[in-house]
Amino acid sequence: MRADAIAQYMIWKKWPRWYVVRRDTPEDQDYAAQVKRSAARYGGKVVEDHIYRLPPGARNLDSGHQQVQQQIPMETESAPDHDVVWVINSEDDFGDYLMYRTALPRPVVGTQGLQATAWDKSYTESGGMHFQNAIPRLADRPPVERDYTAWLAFRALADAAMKSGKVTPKAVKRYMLSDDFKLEAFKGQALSFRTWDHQMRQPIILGGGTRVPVTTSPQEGFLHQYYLTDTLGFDKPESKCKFK
Amino acid sequence: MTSNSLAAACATALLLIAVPASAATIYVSNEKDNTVTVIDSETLKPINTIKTARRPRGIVLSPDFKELFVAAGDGDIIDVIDTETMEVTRTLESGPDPELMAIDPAGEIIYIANEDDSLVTIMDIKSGDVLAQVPVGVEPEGMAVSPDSKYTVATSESTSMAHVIDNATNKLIANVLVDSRPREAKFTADGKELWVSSEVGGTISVIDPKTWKVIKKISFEVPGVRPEQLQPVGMDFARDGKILFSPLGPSNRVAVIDTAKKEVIDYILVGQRPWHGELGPEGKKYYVANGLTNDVTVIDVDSLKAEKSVPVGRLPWGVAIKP
Repeated sequence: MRADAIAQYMIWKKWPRWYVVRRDTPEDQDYAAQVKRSAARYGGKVVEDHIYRLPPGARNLDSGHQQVQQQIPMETESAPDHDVVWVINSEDDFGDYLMYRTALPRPVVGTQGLQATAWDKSYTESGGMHFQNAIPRLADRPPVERDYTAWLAFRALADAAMKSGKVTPKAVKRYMLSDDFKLEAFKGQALSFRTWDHQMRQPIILGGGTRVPVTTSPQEGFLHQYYLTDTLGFDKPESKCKFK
Repeated sequence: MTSNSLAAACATALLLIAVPASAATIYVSNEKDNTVTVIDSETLKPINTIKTARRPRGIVLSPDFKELFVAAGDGDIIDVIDTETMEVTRTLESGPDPELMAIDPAGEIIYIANEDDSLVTIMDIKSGDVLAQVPVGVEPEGMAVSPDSKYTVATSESTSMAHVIDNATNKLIANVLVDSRPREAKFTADGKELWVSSEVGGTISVIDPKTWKVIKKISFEVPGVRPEQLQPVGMDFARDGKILFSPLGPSNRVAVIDTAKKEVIDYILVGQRPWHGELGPEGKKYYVANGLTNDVTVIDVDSLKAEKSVPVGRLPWGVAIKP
């Protein structure tokens, strides 16, 4: 879903050529596979799948940025023509080095730079200010994605119990997976669960580091016969999930 | 007090009869510009732009049309604009994040939804004194006072309820569960029905104030438009209550509902993301604010046709009209 959310925006921007820079951890391999899948779905192209091998080292150093400033242009100068750098760095040890330092001036998207997230501290639409204010009140810090998803989980349960008038796990679950379940969660549209893999359909915020969100996906023009949000992630015919 | 305001109302009525039909004044709150655009209804030209505190959204006139109340969500204040001088003459300490307001028919008390604090603030309009604060559900937004002034209703967007306050005691007497993210509440003129729009649920619930039970839910369907985009927000009765206009946000349409049958009879294409509108003088035109296209669409109430679009400020939110 995250890769699709970014990919749709890249296509909308007419930036279809993606230079992937990543480490080779299993997590990063998985994300890279998702980016390739998104490219195939939406007409993008991974021009090179580049493995970044420099050791991360310590991030906070005296005279630290000078070396990075030298290294990153060298690391990226042999890339084929590309519109964006798609960094995949789940361990978060080098991704931030890419921004403003690549050989060619290119935006950075992925796990750093422009990120796809269920929640961002810049997001204020559809009543979102309420959540932005609630977390600092409770925890004395701005909200992060995990705050939102945890809240979303409890809210889904509470809302299903309240709207269905039922409290047994079986009945609540049945209601949550039914067409009647329409969860309001500051995304400007009802959220619900996909019956085939129990993933939550939701618009994804693209942001990170900016004081206003850049956009939300699904993007205009990506159509689906039932839910626009089902253009993100694995749709019913594509899913291999099975519940016993 | 009541006889005084009655006298004032009579005087205003006489004044209206004495003066030949003149243009009405349309006020539009611009959420992103921190202004109110003032438009002449005859020429449909802006005649003034009034600066307000930050993030003006809810906009209502006093029953005598002398004062305009603008809820500034980020300013944590309500600006009171003198409709003669078109200047902010005083402010009301509304409490944090005021969004929508309702004024009782006598024009004495203002009921304010404090979105961020899950409160309804009840305030004396003249003195600005807080009379009471009533805790309601999370994210209160829509506010309505019943025509007999007995009840005030607040809708809570996160809790999905219409909360009913008894105005004699300022206590909650009922909580009515409706569909997700209720935005606005309106009583019919006879007070026999309470209508509540659910934006994300995509329905309008009609509630019987005798029992505070939902008696009918109205949903929307437009061929070629995705169901999740049919999001009713504002509600305004027209043609003496025979029809109701409801702007449907991201579907860029205003639904027209037959209030007797409780069925949708028409959809009118307007600008992008209409949320709130208001009826013009004698109920002949309906003016709806389109948030994303920065304009107001003028709809003819008889023909149900969109006639014109009037540019206003950025992110227009609500409309109030002084005859």
